[in-house]
Amino acid sequence: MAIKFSVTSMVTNRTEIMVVASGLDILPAEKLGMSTVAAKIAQFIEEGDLPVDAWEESVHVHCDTSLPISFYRDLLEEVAGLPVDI
Amino acid sequence: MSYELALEAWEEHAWQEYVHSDRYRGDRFHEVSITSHGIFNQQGENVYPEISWEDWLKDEGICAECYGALHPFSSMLADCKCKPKRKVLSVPLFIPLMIMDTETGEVSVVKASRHLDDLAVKAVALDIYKFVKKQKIDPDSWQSVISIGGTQVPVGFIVQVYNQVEHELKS
Repeated sequence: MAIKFSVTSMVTNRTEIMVVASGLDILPAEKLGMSTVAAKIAQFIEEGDLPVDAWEESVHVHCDTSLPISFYRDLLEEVAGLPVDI
Repeated sequence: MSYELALEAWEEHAWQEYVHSDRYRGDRFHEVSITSHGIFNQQGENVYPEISWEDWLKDEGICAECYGALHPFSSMLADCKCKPKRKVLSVPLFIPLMIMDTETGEVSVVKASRHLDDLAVKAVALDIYKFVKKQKIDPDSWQSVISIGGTQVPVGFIVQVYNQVEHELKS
């Protein structure tokens, strides 16, 4: 299974698209996507495309399949747990 | 006054008029929806019928006929048919959000104020709350069943909606 995510900074309009394929049924692409998207958001923060203090208010995450609303809350925690080096 | 400022002023004006009217019954802020057609309570009654958004537009020099001809959900410049030399900026009043019951495929479209402010969070959360109830979704697992999307809204807004729906379900 492969699903496509895009991360967009609503500040700079930078958009990056990632195709995430798990290749393993036991590891859903959605779960892999969480890590991939979180890492990309961290990169956006580091490179100045998102504000450090309020990145969540400026980033749009799109997926070509339906994501549960809990995905977005978990994403916040995932990014917060990353060692974002500013 | 710009179109956008005119809309903000109308929303504020309409809300204040409603709060100070004899129709206001101490409703909680999120129990009404401000739309381009007026302010509506949960029963669908227009609680502030005195002035329409179209009348407000006319007062601000933007004709309602042209406003109606513009696409409501996209920012675009369009020719005003009444005044061909004039460009009218169409600012979306509301952002459509699609919510879906991923188990049944049932879809509902809710509209968030384009300002994506606290009122929008509460209004969208209330619509999702009603949808969860209507679909008879388990309130303990709605988070993994409901999908929200369809337009460009920041992650922070969706998370605020998530928290507000949780609050509604537990209150």
